[in-house]
Amino acid sequence: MKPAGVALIVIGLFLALFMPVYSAQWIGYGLSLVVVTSFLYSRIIRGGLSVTRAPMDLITYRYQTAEVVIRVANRSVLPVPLLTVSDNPGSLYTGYENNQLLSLRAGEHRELRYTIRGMNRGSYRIGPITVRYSDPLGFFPVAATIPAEVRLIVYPTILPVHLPMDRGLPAGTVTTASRIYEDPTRYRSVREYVAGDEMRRINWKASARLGRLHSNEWLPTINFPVMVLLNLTAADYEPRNRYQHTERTIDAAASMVHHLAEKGQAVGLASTGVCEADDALVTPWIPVAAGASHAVSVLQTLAQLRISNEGPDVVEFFGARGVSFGTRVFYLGPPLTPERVAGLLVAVRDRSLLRLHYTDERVRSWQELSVQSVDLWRITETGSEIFK
Amino acid sequence: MRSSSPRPELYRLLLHPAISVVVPATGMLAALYLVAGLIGSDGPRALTVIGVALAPMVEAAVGNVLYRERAGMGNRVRELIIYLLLLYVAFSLARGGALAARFVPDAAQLLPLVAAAVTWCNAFVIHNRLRGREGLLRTFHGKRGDELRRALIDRQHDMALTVRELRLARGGIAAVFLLLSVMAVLTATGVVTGSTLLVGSPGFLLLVVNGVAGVLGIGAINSFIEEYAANGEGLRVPTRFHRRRFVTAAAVVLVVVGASFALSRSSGLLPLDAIAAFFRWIGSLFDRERAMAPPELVPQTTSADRYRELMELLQGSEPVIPPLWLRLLAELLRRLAIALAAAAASILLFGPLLSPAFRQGLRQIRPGRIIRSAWQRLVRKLRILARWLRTRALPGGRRRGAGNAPAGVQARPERRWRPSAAKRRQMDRVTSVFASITRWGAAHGLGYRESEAAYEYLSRVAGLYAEHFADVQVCREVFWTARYSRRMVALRQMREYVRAARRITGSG
Repeated sequence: MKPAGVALIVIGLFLALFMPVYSAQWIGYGLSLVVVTSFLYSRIIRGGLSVTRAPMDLITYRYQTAEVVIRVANRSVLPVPLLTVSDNPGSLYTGYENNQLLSLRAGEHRELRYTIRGMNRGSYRIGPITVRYSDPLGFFPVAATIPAEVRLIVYPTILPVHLPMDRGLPAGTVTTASRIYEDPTRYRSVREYVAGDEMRRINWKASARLGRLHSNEWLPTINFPVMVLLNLTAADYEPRNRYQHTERTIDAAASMVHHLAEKGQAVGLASTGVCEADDALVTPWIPVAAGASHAVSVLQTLAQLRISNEGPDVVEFFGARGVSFGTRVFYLGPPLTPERVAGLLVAVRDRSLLRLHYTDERVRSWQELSVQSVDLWRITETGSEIFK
Repeated sequence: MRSSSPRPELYRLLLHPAISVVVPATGMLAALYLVAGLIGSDGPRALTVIGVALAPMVEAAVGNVLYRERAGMGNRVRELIIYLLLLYVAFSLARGGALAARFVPDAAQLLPLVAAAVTWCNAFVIHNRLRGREGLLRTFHGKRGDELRRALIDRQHDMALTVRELRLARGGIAAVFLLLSVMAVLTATGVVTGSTLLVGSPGFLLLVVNGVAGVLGIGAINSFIEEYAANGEGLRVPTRFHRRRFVTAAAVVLVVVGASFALSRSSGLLPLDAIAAFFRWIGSLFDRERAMAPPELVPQTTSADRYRELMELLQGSEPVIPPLWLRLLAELLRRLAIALAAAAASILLFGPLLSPAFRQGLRQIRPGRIIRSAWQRLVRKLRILARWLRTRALPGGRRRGAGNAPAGVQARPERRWRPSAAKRRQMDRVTSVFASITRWGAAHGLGYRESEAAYEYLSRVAGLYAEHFADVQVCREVFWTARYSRRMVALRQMREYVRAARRITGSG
């Protein structure tokens, strides 16, 4: 309580207790009761006011909105005439909706909702919440900060991707045209016997019913496990437009992960960039695995990745751990010298399993960058077609 | 988000004047009664009470009603002087004796004038600070959405200045009540002149009213200050929040006042003797020192004798006549001072009549139009009255056509429809609302021609203001139905009609 309030109470009590005159006592009681009542009112609503966040994981894509929900409850027996609730969105865009004004009756519950938009990928902290209110006479205003925070992860931009999947490990989930990948567990149809068909293919029941030999056909499917190798070492990028190029490369990696996850393929991530984990900077290496939750964790890692100023050389980094047999390695990053490509091929072990996706920065001739029997793709600088 | 009809007019004409009238008026009147009780004299005269009570009302009324724009300090001082002059004349006329002698200045006339002037100044100080808020509210009024938010945020600097002003007003209100409390305690305890302050006395009742008004006024100012904090974040405080808060605050004050009345007694809960003994002991310390001091010299004559001797000495001397040039100079200076005072008073009083604004206002007065308009209204009323009288005079209503009936045929009385009172009220209502649209149209270069039907006029409005097309359509249909049909239009439709008209004229 402010010194002026204490002084008024003391003077008022003195008048009320010692003065043997009705009017003087009335003044004393009036002064002290106004202050005490306002003070108690303020304390009571302070004890009864509850401001919490709805339990939620806020995840959104770049340029898209997520909804933040704040629950406000007045559990006291007194109304709160005016309550200002301000959520701190940091650098995120909310359109002023993070500040709201309420008037709560006794026991009233309200939910405040506002949308938040991430203009850049990353992990953002929303909060704390600041509330301001006072007693009806405004003698004891309260401004409290409630440390209720929530984390918003903004994924990189996901663009449509078309990846040719013509070769891979047999018996997967991706259908292909090549019949050498026929999966005998996936029956497709019956056709007339062609000379050269194996005996095991002949469908004897159908042949007996139709009077001619018929052979079974199975669906050719492949498995396409991919390890995305994302180069985010600062030294490998040109200083000019470095931020735009790294962001575009990360968008390309996220689009690829999203595409592969949609196809039900196993995917992993290895990057020379860094991200925060338990208050420490780590270089992520996520092994190849399938499943939606795994893909989400890869996307979350991509959302939080930052360029590494003292990052390791991407070839050495990859060569130190390597991948299992048959796993394709998609390199995304600035163009590599032929020597470094050779080093990467040693680590991959099979030339056909490597694909290079080069960031389009200061490339004079794409022909010069091409490597024999290794697919080379260009990551475009702008537009919705990210690979060319 | 919308500027939730916190109509600036509501504050300008009601709440702000109420605060700035009640607090200073009750404060000054309570002070007068308390001082009178303290010195043991009668309370202020009825004329004094009226003069003091009217002073803040004059300030509020003149400031709000008569001045379209906020007047400068010079105009307000002129207004105060005129009010005090009128009050002086009233006090003078109320005195007894010869007419000329009544206007001789006297303490009984001047002291109430001082009280009225102080009250006016208090009201001006409080009201002037609240006017800053009115100005801010006016800049927000009618805006909505992003426009309102930008207006709120753009005005942050003005808000900071206004908050400072409001805090000063709040301090003034609190200081007045505390000063009154001190005076009331002194009067009630009788420590000075053995006075008392009875519960039913005007002084105490005015003190209670001032306390309640002061606490509510401070609460209102605090809510205004909090409103600015919300405005700074782009939030507009809806009027219903203010209303809810005011009701809660009034309940709290009611409880406090009631509890104070219930708890107060005419006897002290704790003895005051101990404190009195303490102070007596402190006083006794000085008595001992005084006892040790040398005895004071006792004068040989009394004070009355000394005064008489002084007067005898003054009268005994010969009159000293100053030189002629000095007397001439003094007379010259006296007349010059009178002339200057008269000129200053004339400029002060009649200067505004020569101002460009006043001349411009005079040019805007069109007596011919006013007289013509009044005449048309009078003729219309007379026609209505004559029609009503004719209708009342005919037995069984009007029977037109009976005279034209063929011989031998019993003419059937024509059943002429007569609108009921409710229908007539409805017809008048739609007409008056339509008239408001024509007034708005005239101000926007779309004057109503008497040869036009309402439908045609509203069609012209719709043609020029396409955004109001739907509202104009509503107005046309409801006007048509209410004015020319024999049935009553539903209340819902009438409300929609009024709302549509207000949207068109921008007053809704």
